[in-house]
Amino acid sequence: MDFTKSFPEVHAARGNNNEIKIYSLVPDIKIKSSGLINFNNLICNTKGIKFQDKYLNVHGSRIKFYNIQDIKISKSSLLNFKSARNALKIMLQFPQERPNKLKWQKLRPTLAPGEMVIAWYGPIVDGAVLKLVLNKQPGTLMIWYDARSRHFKSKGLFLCRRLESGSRPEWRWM
Amino acid sequence: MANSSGLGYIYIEGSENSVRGSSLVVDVRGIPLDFRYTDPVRPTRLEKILYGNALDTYLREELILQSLLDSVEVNPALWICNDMDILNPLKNFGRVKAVLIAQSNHQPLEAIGHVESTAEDNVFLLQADGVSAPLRLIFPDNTRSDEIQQAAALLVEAARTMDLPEPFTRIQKALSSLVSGAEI
Repeated sequence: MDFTKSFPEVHAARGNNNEIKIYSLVPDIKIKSSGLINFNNLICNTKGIKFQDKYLNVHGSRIKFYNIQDIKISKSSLLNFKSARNALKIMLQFPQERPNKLKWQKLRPTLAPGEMVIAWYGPIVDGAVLKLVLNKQPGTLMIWYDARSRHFKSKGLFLCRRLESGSRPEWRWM
Repeated sequence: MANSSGLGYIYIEGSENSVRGSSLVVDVRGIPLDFRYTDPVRPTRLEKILYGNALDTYLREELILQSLLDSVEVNPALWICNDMDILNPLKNFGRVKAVLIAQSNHQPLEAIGHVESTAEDNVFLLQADGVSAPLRLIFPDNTRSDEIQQAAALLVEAARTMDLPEPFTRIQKALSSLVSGAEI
């Protein structure tokens, strides 16, 4: 690129005839076009420009949009004979758990002298119970029910203890 | 889909890295009638970027909740959740009444079955049994007063034979065992 600068001569601002002449103090810059790109050689359309795809790495992947049917639902229903085993295996192995609600229970069983109530658990459908286990650490009662039972009447279960050494806790339905 | 007078519990857990859900329909004794669970959905980094803040809503409300509700074969009389975010969708997709239940520290109400409104919209206290603090009930928007009374009646009836919030604990234990691969 070749720039040629030429500075104008400086004249007096006021002429003989009291006319004002204005001169530019900005240097004239002449640009020789031979130093620039020759547009005559550039094809200005998209056909003329082609990127070699071997130089381009394309990243990314197909955007997966989940459809409802893509989600696997593990089916198990006690009403479905085929899947009943799965449902029983998964859910019936987990007992229902009841906390000690003695502080809420106003009723008390009839106690013999020297007996006291330790805990109350309920509601429990006693006719449907398969197994009861006292979880001593949190003080909760774990209940396994027979899913085929038709009993629906619930009761409460008191845990009582006699205040003497060696006595065992005693359960009382009420 | 069979009709049931049972209660349906919906539980969705996880973070933006992995979300999964489960539904458990029980009879009034808490005995399982229908149990479903989804595989965990783990969105990719790209999906997280593209969905942005909408990802969690999409996963929980549209994908997991709708999938569970569509797959349930024993239709409960009432859907119960413990997550405010899915309460309104649960009513829309579940086709039956829905309620969020939570335990409260409130003093006992006058009598079993008593429903008391609170200062918050759609929030009520229900004395479901005589051996617990009142339950805090939150209903979806636009729930009618007769629907609230019907839901309360169902809960009181079930509370005679079961512990109402307890199934959530069982669902969590079941999902935990499925993760550890203990039993499927």
